[in-house]
Amino acid sequence: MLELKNLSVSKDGIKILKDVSLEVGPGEILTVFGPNGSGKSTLLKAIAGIPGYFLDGEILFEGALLNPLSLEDRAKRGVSLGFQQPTDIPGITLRQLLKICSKKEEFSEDEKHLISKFRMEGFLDRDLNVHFSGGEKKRAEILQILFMKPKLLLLDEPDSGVDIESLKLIATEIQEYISKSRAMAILVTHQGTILNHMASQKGCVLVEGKVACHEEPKKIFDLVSREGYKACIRCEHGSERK
Amino acid sequence: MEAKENSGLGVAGEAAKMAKSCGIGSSGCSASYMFVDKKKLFGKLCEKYKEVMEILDIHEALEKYGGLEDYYWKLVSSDKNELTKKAAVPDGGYFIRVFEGKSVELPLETCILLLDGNEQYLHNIIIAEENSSISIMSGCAAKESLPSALHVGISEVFVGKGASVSFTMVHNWPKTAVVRPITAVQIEEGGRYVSNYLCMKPPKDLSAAPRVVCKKKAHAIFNSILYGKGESLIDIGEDIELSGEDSRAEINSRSILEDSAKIITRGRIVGSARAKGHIECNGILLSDKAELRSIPEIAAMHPEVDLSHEAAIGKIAEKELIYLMSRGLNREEATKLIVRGFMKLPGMGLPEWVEREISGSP
Repeated sequence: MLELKNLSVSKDGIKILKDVSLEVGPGEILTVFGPNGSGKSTLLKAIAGIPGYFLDGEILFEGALLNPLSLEDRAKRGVSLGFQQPTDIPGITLRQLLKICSKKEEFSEDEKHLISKFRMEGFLDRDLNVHFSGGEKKRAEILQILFMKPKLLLLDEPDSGVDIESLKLIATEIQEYISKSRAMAILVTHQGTILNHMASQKGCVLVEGKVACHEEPKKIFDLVSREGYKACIRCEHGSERK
Repeated sequence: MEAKENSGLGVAGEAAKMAKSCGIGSSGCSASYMFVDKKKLFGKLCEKYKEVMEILDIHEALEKYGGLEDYYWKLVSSDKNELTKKAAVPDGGYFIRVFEGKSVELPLETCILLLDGNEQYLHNIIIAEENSSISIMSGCAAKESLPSALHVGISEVFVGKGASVSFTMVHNWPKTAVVRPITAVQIEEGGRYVSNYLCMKPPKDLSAAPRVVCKKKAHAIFNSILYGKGESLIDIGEDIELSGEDSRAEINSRSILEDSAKIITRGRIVGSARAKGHIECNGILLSDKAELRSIPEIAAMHPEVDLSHEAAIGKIAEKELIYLMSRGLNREEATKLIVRGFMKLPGMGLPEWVEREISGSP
């Protein structure tokens, strides 16, 4: 179980998240919507432990407080962040990083199969993300996340810049992993298509750093598609429900 | 000369260990030359290469070829400075000549060591005759416990028409050493010279400014990987003259600095004919006491010269560290991984053992 209790987050002296309380249980995927700049990425980075974010409130993961733990210690506890814009790292290959993620010198048969499914064999010995297309970067990113076998997946727009076929693949593999492992996930997305392949029952909308609405993700997406985020601000469900 | 193929160096003890640290003696080679302190230990040439090239001590070559008047002190002036004057009668050095049209598939290995002595003056001559090719692996090192060490190496390299010379040099020095390589290279029409220089254990003071002349369609490539540690000072700068039409030159350096190390990289390319050149300098500072200066100079003396330079120096990008730490590495592990990756110069095409050397560091 992941519990955020009255979490406020500041960066560079600016308060970005305000009093956010959320829960995600084993096997659950919480989908977070919100306009640009509403604090979605900040939420994921704060949970992951990216330096530079100052927290007030509690992040409880499996009953333990994550707040004092460093980024790498949270990763070791099973928290895994899929970046919205994965970084290029010249000189380090995707193969090297996948081995670090899996903590093994050799890939297992399942891992080899996954690399092949993600059509990344040809990228293994290339410098990480260097001259990868947007979709290739996202496939490499999700592959790393899955190799880490995390308990908590923080997925920041895994669907942006990804073609329909790859989107289905990525989403299906994430869902399969979550169903099998009973891991939990927070998914940030602007698009509805990914929800066709993932069983996310919980959703919320962040507006100006606050949770403006809790609802089923598909309903939120339909509402936002029809009326925009202004509909969420006046949403009858308000921010009380979890 | 002893004729034995793939013999390695055939020496034991400290010399072998030090040679190995420079990657010398670990694999099959076409020929080898070893010099310790002030004396040649041996020069070996594999039987099958006797019709392909020759390797001699410089004194043997001077005697055999009546003073080598077309080559000896032709590219470097013996009056250049106090060191060249002192090297007027060198302790030794190798003379390598690859015969016209011949190719040496296996690398030639040379190893120059300081074990007990505190200074050595060497004079090396490499001649790749027309349309020949050779790859040379050279290691230079001194014993860690030497209270002082001075290594002066004069090298004159003649790359003939259409010939190709690849020269990979690995230096492993103690903190007390002063190192002064004085190199000059002349590349004739269509010739190619590639220099890969790797210094993982820097001396107290290393200064080198190879002078290179590229004639028509000649191509010079200089790659350097420099690791500054302790209080070492490394000052390196190739000086390349593109005097022939359609000649090309590239200077690439990757520097990593720890502690109070100081590195100066000063590439210079002058184009006096239609030619193309590029200087690239990248560096990472791992300490706030280290200092890296990049001083590139490009000069065009002809309207069709195309020269450029690019430099990026500073600390490791925080976003790269954070990315790796999000995969469970701590800051130190992430830093090491990035540094190792940084040292892999694209296109440097180093032998496998050098790649391993880099992967094992810092």
